[in-house]
Amino acid sequence: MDIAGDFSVLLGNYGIFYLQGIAATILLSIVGTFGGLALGIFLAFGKKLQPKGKRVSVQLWQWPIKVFCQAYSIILRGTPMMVQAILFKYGTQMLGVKWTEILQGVPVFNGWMVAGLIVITLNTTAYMGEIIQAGLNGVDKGQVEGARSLGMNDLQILFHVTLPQAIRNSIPTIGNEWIVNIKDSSVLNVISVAELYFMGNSAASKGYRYFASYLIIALIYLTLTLIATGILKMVEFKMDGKKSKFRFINVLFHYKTKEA
Amino acid sequence: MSLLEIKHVAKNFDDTVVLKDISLNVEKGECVTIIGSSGSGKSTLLRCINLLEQPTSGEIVFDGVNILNKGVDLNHVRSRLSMVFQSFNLFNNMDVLSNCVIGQVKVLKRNKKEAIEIAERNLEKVGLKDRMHFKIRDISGGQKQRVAIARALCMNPDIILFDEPTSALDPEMVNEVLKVMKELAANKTTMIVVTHEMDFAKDVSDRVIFMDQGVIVADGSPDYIFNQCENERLQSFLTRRHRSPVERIKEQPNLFHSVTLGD
Ligand SMILES: Nc1ncnc2c1ncn2[C@@H]1O[C@H](COP(=O)(O)OP(=O)(O)OP(=O)(O)O)[C@@H](O)[C@H]1O
Ligand SMILES: [Mg+2]
Repeated sequence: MDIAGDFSVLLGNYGIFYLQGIAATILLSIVGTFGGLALGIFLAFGKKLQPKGKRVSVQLWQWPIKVFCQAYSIILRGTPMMVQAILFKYGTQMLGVKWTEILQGVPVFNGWMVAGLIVITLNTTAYMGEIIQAGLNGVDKGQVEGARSLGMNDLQILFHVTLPQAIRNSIPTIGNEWIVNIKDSSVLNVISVAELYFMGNSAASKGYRYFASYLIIALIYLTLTLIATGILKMVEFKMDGKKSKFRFINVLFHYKTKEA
Repeated sequence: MSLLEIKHVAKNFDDTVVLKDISLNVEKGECVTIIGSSGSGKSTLLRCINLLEQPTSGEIVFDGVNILNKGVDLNHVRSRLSMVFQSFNLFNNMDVLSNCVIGQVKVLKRNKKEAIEIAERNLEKVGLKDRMHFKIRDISGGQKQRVAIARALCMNPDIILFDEPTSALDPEMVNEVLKVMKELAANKTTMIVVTHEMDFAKDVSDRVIFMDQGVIVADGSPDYIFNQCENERLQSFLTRRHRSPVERIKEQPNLFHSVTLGD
């Protein structure tokens, strides 16, 4: 077996496959993470509703939302994304949706990409809901009372006091979801989303160069997750206003930065 | 008509009775202190006035309106009755200035520029104008409490409610906060102060209220409360509080002994 030879053939003849795969994987992970965060905020609100003891007219709309959000969270976190993707594919096909006709011919976005984006976003939403809920619970009640004593209403308190702090405190966990998404978007190959694993597999099958091709995509995944980790550390670093210098090498070796 | 009239207010938490038939009037410009032992219901009374707690029964008439009535704009009432908390309760995601601006912009609908001017003026009043761009976590406890007072002042409240504003502070920071409060009192700010600082109650307030087990036991001038009133519960509270730590140790001969013996 000539691995070096396989490498040069794969990268030389099929380099564009990997590049497209990288673009698709980055797109899936970013849309999935930010879309999931946005929807996850609503999911967290839904789960935090407290209809008990309220007026009947309020209970009438709050109960269904709360139950829906809780069920959503349990079901989507309790089943594999691969299975969710397949169910989504066949379910929507039965309803007559033709995913491959949407954005036909647009690079990266064509084929099953739109379906993939929806699946990864809906899946991430469930996890983000948990993260934001924990973040909201973590903001001390005193600040809420402080805001209330000034006359701020619940929405104002949410948007100006609790939510910004919940998100800020959750950035490490939110970032972790991004890294998980970079890796786990690979399962979307089951519905033919042309992400990195799918493209690497396609390149490999052209000449039976499987080991070399999977090694290439493994290295690419590793590089992507390391870069993502670095970006996240940098963001945290900036937000904490730390005085010491940020060094990318620290990311690789998990050096702890000293508390200010 | 008084600015604030509390009439027969009671408050239960489930089965626990915390306030029983509290009646109390506060005049405009008055500085009222509330003293009493831990658990007597002082905080709960303040929180009822600010509507952070809903009284179980009674009336709270503020500026002629019973604020417990249905249809009263809760947030509007709260903005006129600012509260300063023992634990500061500042917004950690904002700097000092924004803490003072947000309520003005969101609740009073002042424009940003005006709100900033007012905030700067009030921060100057509490001696913190030079800290206005600091993050909350970068200032001391005494400074935090002064920011909290400035934040309350920015709302131009009719009454400021203080719930043990110096109890969470290191001793060396207590005076900087008391000084600000004294100035407010001197300027005839209407304030209700729950405190364990007996000197403040004695020297600064116009009126002292002693609470015990959810009722107002004594209500009068500082001179009346500290020198004349002979109520037994008040006397026992005052003597307990007035003894210095050294005196308390001296009362326990065994403890005192063991200290000297070890020498
Ligand atoms: N949310 C609540 N639920 C149940 N009980 C409560 C609640 N808040 C206060 N209490 C009870 O009410 C009583 C009075 O509490 P409060 O905080 O008003 O006392 P306080 O006079 O302010 O005491 P301290 O000097 O310790 O602050 C206490 O026995 C307390 O346990
Ligand atoms: Mg208290």
